[in-house]
Amino acid sequence: MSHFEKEILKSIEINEIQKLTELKNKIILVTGGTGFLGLWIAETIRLLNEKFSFNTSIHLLSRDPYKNIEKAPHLFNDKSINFIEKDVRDIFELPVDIDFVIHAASDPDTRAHSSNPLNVIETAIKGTDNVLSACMRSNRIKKILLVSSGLVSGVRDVDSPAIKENSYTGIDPTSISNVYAESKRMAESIAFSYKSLYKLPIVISRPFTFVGPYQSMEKPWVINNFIRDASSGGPIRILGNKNTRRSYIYGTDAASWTIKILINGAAGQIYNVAGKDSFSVQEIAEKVQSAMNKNVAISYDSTNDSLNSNMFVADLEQSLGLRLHQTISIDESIQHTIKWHLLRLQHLKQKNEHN
Amino acid sequence: MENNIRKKILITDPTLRDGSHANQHQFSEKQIRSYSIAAERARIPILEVGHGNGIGASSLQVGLSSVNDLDMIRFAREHLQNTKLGIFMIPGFATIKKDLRPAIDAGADVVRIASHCTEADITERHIGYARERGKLTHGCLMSSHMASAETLIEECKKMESYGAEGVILMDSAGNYLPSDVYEKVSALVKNIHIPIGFHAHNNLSMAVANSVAAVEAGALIVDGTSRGFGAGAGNTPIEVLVAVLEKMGYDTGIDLYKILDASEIADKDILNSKPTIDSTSIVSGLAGVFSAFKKHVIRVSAEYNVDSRDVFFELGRRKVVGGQEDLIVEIAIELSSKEKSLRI
Repeated sequence: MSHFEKEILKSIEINEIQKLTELKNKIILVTGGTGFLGLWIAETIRLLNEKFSFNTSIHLLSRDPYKNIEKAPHLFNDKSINFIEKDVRDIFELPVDIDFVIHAASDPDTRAHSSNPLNVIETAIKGTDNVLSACMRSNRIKKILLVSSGLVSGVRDVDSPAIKENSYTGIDPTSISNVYAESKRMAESIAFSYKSLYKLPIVISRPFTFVGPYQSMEKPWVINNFIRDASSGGPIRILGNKNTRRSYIYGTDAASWTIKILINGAAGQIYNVAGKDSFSVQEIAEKVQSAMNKNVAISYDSTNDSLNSNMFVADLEQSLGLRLHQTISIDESIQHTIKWHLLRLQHLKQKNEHN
Repeated sequence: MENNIRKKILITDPTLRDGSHANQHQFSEKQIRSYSIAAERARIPILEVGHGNGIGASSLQVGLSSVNDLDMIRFAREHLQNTKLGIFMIPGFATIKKDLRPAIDAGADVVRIASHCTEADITERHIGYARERGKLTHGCLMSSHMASAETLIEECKKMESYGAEGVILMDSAGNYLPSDVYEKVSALVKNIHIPIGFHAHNNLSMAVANSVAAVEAGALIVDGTSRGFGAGAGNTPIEVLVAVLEKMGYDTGIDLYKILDASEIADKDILNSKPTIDSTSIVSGLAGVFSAFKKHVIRVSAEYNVDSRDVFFELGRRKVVGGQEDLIVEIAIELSSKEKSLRI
């Protein structure tokens, strides 16, 4: 049985499964294959094979495919999933048998943006160029999805309307904390250049904020950090502006949306990938506090409340046109994530005791 | 309506860490226990312990500790309940596996990870590890007088992105004037979400004034040590700092009488040499050289028969930073050779 079966079945919306039949007996390549999105795509394909006999194969390309092996050993034992150890910056050729490409390789970790900005830029720009250039040499590839980021739309004040795919503000290129957004923006330009010059069938997704299992505790994301704080006895510590608003999407929904955009999205179109409602950081802290069912406090220590209380909330009209729906609510997302982390901590503890 | 809520200022006391420079890292178990008891009584929020250059730094080069870091932590830990136990760490002197992990296991509550003011990049893993362990984690930018406000903003943002919950500007050389402090701290407060702190040295007799300037510019964390016991000319005297902040209407949470008592205890039991602003300290402050160089410079200058003030100005001209103590000998030899050739 597939892990996370209930959530994945909910996310793929079985009554619309016929929209995915184009994937049957096909081969997909996912770059950034062992990242958060890549693992969830693999989980979803695995379930489609098990429950609906899709017979779809998937290549997960990653510069360090075995890093996440203890998080998802079942994926590493699945014959329909193949791991390729390669850095997108060094790609020249792709496997000859692939039908679809999801190019998701990038480093969204804000710590890497500060410490290795040139690597972040090179991965996004050179990686995208390499992948698309290799796609150009294949006459079999039916569709390519570039996973971009909602950040390319620029920074917004907290009271701004939800961000549409064709709405842009500026990105300050002088701040290295913006290298990810800037390089993703450039990756989109590269994609549109390939589409224009070589007629590659490229569609773009712009994820906003992910939540779910497979996000490690040490990664600097709000929800898993709050879970970490609460599970170690608290308090839940809010850093940054507590009023900042984001729209979160759970891993199974994000993967399902990504696959559906790949299959059904129109070439040259861009689709936001996000939850339909937005929540402030304070509200998320309260939700984690409540879901953990622990008597932990929430602490907030900011020098400047008015600084950067921004919003990162998607308008979903374009995505709704593809009948993409959020099926896992924020409360369910947080509960599933907590459950996964606690089980994982328990497992690691038992493993350490055993050793 | 008048706002009666007093602004809270978090005070960290590194008497048993920065003060370690002042006694050649020779704190005894009895001294550590005695001051920890006094700090707890005074309700000092954070008491920092360890080698002067941070955990893992004990060495022939910068000084061997008489009590190792882990024992210092354990001794202090036994007497602290409300006061949090802090440690200081400079990546390079210390590693996560060898030093930080055992220090946290031994009972550290608060972790400060420090780098030279333009090298915050080296703190990423260490800050990340301390956060993973659920510890209150601050980044420290040492010798911050050597960088512009714009550079400091950038370095602070790096530490913030790594997970630091506050960034402390360190005036490692005692070089700042209050106007410098105000300019830099207010620039950081305008641009950084997390609390900004300030750690002063008293080379130009500006430690209290600089700490006050920091608070007035929006800093929420300031450091002070009993009687200013610390490297070089010492730090901000905590007992004076608490009194001044009380007078200004800030809430430090520290009991004034008890902090005065703690300073008396430190004066009697710990301070084998009281920090003074001698000519060398003034010169090192003006030259902008890390305060902990003082004892090394005096010793090496005497050995090579050169004027320690010349050594300090040359160190300042070369913009040396903590960890480059080897250069002191090199400079002394050069100055000595020059003097000899002039005599010939």
